[in-house]
Amino acid sequence: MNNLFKINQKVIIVTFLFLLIIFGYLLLDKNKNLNKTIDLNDSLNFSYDILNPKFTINNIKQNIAVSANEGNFIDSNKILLRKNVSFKSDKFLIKSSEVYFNKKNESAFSNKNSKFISNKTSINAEGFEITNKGDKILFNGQVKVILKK
Amino acid sequence: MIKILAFIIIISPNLFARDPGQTEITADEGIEVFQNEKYYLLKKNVKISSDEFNLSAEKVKAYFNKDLYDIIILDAHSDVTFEFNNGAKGKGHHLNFLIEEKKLTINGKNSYINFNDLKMNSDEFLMIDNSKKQFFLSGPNSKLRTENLEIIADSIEGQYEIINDINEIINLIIIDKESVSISEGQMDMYAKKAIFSKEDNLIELFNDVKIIRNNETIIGDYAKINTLDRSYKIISKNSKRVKLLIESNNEQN
Repeated sequence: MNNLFKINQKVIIVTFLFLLIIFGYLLLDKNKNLNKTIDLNDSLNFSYDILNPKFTINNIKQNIAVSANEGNFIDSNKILLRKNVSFKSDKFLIKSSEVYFNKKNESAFSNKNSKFISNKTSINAEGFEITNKGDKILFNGQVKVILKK
Repeated sequence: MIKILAFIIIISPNLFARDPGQTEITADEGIEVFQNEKYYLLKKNVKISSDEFNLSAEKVKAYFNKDLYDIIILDAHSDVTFEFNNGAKGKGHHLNFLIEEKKLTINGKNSYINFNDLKMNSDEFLMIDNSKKQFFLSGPNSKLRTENLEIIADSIEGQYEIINDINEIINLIIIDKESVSISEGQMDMYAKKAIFSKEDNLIELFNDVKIIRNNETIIGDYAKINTLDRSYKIISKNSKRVKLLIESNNEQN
């Protein structure tokens, strides 16, 4: 009698089940990784709503060009501008990493470190607020102003 | 460790020092910039450091001409202290400084300006106008002091000139509703009004005049005092008499 026929039938069943479990686990793990990739892609796709947003605050005396690398809509009027946010007019430049901009009343607010640069003037502040279409600029927190002659 | 600490303490001020020609302003509660009105408002623990002066206050309004750097007026409130690079320093509740005109006004109780041996105090108003070389003190406890002169009055108005880097008073008009007090070491003078002219070497006293020199007290309505030899002439308009009181140095028990 062939030796092969000597193997216990129970052993064959156990081995088969063992292989099935391993195969099932590997399949499940693969799907999990696939889901992870999809999630990551999803998050990348939805990290910002607008790429390189640009706006203009129109004032009788000056126009202020607003730009950033990214923007997210908070509601129909408010946008969170992020990364290299700048407010630039012919009189000044304000730089910050994160600014809330209101399209309706053309106001802006930031509680991140901000820098104001103008002719012979620089201001470092812990945030800023632009109201009255840029006529009034408030720099928050501890501020340092350097004026040059 | 002590050496390291000492090094840090010594080097720290230099790390944060401003460059020559720069004005550095710091504030704890921000700045409001009003571009149309051309001023900015600095709030809480404001410190201004420049080549010309240092100033600290709780609130400072800086008016500018062309741009933010071009400050023309400083208006400081609450616990104002200042020091100029020429040594003049002072304190008050409110300070207004016209930078171009170099006109300084200070208000509030216990206000003062000290410049070398010239000291001005008032509980109400002090003003120095460097462009016109004028000064004015008014209100309670207004006092002008030099090394050998003390004037106390409600209103002290004067002009000065700079001779050999020394500020010399050339004119004074002193008024008090009660009595002007002028002490100059050898002589004490009292009146409702006093006028001093350096050019004429003359002090004139008007109304309720009293001059105390050594042990003599002379009372009248008008007096002329020669500031060179301290001789004086005193007259009484109504009675045409002058009252002379002479006190004895030997007090009787």
